[in-house]
Amino acid sequence: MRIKRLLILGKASELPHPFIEEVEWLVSQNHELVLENIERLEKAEFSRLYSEMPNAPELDSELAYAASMADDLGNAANQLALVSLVTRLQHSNNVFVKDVGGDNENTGLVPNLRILNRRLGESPIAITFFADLVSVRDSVVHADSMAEWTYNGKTRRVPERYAKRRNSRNRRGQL
Amino acid sequence: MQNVVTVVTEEVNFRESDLREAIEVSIRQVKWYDERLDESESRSNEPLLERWSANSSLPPARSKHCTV
Repeated sequence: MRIKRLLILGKASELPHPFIEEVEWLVSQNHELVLENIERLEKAEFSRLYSEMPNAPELDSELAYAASMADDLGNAANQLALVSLVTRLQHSNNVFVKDVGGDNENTGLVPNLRILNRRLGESPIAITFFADLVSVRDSVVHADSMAEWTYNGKTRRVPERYAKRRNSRNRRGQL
Repeated sequence: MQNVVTVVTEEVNFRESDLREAIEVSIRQVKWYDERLDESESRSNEPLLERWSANSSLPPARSKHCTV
């Protein structure tokens, strides 16, 4: 049970759902601060390269490397924010399941969404949307952010729209 | 002469716009369940409200402290 309004000296105050408060402050705000810092570091690195090697032939490749590093950091920040979001959403839904008298032990986000849809009516948002987010969360946490991995002998994969091919060029050995 | 090996892998690409969408949809989902719970008979805040307004000296600043 959650308190939604408080009466203080006869005046009612509306309280936002704890999930909304947590997401706005601990997910969105935190993510924004991280991205701002990544951008600041990237600009500082660009300035350093321009001042230290203005005419060097390798300047372009150094700039591209710095930009690529910043992209990787930004992608990592997005992924960690998603992990935080899905975890908090799972906790909120656990509370909802308890509210409707369900047993939420040893179940994940998707099974709990099914329970809530059965008890409260079909939600306007498809469960598959959240199942996709869970697969991305699981990839980040358990599979080093790979698009496809094996768990308990079963192949799992993130949806195509959350995956990309990446070419890594490594110099190996001498001929 | 160097031997250049290109390794092609596929990995998660969760963009900032994906995150914004996920946050927005998740908040909508939580609000929807919260409203349905209010409409159902399984949840009522009235007794708690009365207790809070009559007896509580706890600060109302952050709702996460008010989850019971």
